[in-house]
Amino acid sequence: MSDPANITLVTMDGTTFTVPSAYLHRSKLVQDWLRSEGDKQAMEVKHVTPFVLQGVLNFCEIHAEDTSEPLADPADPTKPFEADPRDDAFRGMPDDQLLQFTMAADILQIPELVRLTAQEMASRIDGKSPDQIRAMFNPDDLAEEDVDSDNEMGEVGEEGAISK
Amino acid sequence: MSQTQLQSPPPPPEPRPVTPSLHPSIFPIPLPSELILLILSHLSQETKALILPLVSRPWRDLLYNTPELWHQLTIYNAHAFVHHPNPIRFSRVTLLDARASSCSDDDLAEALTRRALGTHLTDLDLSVCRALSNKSILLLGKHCPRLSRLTMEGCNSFTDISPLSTLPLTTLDLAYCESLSSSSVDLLARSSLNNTLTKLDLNGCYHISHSALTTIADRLHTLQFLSIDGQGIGDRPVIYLFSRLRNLQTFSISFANDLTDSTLKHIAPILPRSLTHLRLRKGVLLSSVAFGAFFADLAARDHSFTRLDLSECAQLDDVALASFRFPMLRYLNIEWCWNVTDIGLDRILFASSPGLVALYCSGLNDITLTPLVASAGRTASSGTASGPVTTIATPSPPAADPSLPHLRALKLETCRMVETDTIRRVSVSNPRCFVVDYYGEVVRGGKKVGLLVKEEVWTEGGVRSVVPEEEEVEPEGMEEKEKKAKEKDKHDPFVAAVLALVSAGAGVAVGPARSAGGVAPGAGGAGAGAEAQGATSAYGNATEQTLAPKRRKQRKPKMVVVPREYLGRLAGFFDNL
Repeated sequence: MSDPANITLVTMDGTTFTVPSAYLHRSKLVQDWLRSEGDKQAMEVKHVTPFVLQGVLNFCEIHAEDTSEPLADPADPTKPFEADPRDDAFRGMPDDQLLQFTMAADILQIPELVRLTAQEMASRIDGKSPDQIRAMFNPDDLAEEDVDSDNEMGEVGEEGAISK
Repeated sequence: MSQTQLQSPPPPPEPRPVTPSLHPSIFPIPLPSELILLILSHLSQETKALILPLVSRPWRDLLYNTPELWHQLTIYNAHAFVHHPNPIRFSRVTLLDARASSCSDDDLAEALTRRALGTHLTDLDLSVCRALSNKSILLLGKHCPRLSRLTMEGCNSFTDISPLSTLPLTTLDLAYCESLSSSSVDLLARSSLNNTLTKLDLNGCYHISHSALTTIADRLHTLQFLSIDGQGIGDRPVIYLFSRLRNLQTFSISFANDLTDSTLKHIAPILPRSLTHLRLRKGVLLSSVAFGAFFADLAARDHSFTRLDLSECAQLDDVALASFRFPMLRYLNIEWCWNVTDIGLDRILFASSPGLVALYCSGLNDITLTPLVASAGRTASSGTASGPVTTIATPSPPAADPSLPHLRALKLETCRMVETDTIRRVSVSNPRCFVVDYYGEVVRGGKKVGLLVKEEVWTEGGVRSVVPEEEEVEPEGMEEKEKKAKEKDKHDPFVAAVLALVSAGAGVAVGPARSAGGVAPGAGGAGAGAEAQGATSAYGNATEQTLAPKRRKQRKPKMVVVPREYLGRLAGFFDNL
């Protein structure tokens, strides 16, 4: 099956995006789909909104020319993560949007983007106090869940033994 | 083909089934648990262990019950760790940093036998756990089948290392394991380790004999890093090492006082090309003539070092340095080579190694640096003076020209002839350079920024902002780092230096797995210090709640410690920030 020049993606609500197939060479989902047999008119990407897909495709466009070796596993600890100024769009993004991008990247199986967004999310959590983290994520639901409970007190008492 | 198409309109491949989130209330939108774990895996241990469990119950349950989140662990109290009420959580540890955690034989036995923590372990640091005896070494050999990196610096109670010979070790750091017997090293070198071991650090192990070194030379062909103490070691075994270990990149001998000119003469023609880091400390018998011939031989072969440490080789002088030509040299230590003067330094800095990044010349009584600064200024200005502009400009002070532009660290402790003004001019003209003055004060950009204490440099304000204006060195920082300083007492700066350069890009302490990387040296060190203090108090009966606010205050130490040997490397970090 020869590679088509363009690929059309359809989001959950039917919006279509047509991009050069070279953009998506890092998406394992798309590559698998291209290798599979059958009609290559349009690929449905469920669970992804048009806005998020647009962002993901922007990322793919920016990195289409990258020559770095594709990342096999976003959690691979041997490949150090380096921030790329071209990805600054993800830095200013609201938290829930960022998570939606993580999801979309996971669905499209683009390990580079999964790692980027996960790393960005982690960097927003790191260094914050519990209160700040609560405020970041679900202030209403979590307020009363404040931990002063009993069951693991023995454990938390010794938590200092492993801390950094 | 067409048949398949007719049979059924092929559905596009389904997106991977989205596994229902186990912890719906953690993030504002439901995420598959592997993504949650991925995000959390990027967090620091501090956040995972001390902050997130306080956020909410689901967070805490997730963190406490997911061994995958605890692959890498730094512990400060081995006893508390091995008696942790929820050991499952640590059942998948691969990297354990238990440096100075007071780990005893019993603790290790508990961890390795009852808790089976060794199963997945690949990196282990037990440095400065001085109570560990031969019993522990046996346990390690038996229960850590995957261990590839073991660091046991300063564990001076055990004598027999041979039980480790069954492990797939690549790195074995036994620096200052002073009781280590020569015969057990001999046994180890004869084992199957000869296929895997690339780094062996025996610095400070002064029982190691000629015959053990010969066995190392004969057997450990994969070695790239070898560091020995050298006490009582003569020419023959050292020459033999170089003739056999052809992959060596780093060789260090801390006490070369039994080596004679014969060593220099014989190793010059056979030095492996890969060997770019050589340390011959205290080679007091090595003569100026022999050094001269050594340098000339290597220059003729186009051999160039990147790091060279000839400290305390008292006979090294300007005459020998006349044939010094190592253009790739980045780090040079000639501390206490009294006979070197400005002429020798001029040769080094301008004729031989203009790319030098770190130059350590403490104790050189005769150097003034004045002609160097002047000549550097002259060269620079004659380079730029080609336009008519300079004729109009008022004569600028020489300080305006960057003298020694590549230099990032210049150590001049007890150099009594170097004027304060010279130091000021060097540091002003090259604001990226750290200069250590007569008193051990660190000057940068013309201002004092810190103090060299023992093996460490104290600077104000953290790695990201060394602010020259702020001068005060707060004493509380000292307390925080007391433990670290103690543990570093015997820590050879060489080890740190090598870590810094050889494993470039890795974290400070352990290895590539510690991805903290770049900025870590200062920030990580300071954080660890604060936490070390927290750990002791936490081990009382206090609850997490009462501790948390306190600890949060401690988390912002004002002081950042820059290990002395990182100076050169750190200078690079400062610039990249």
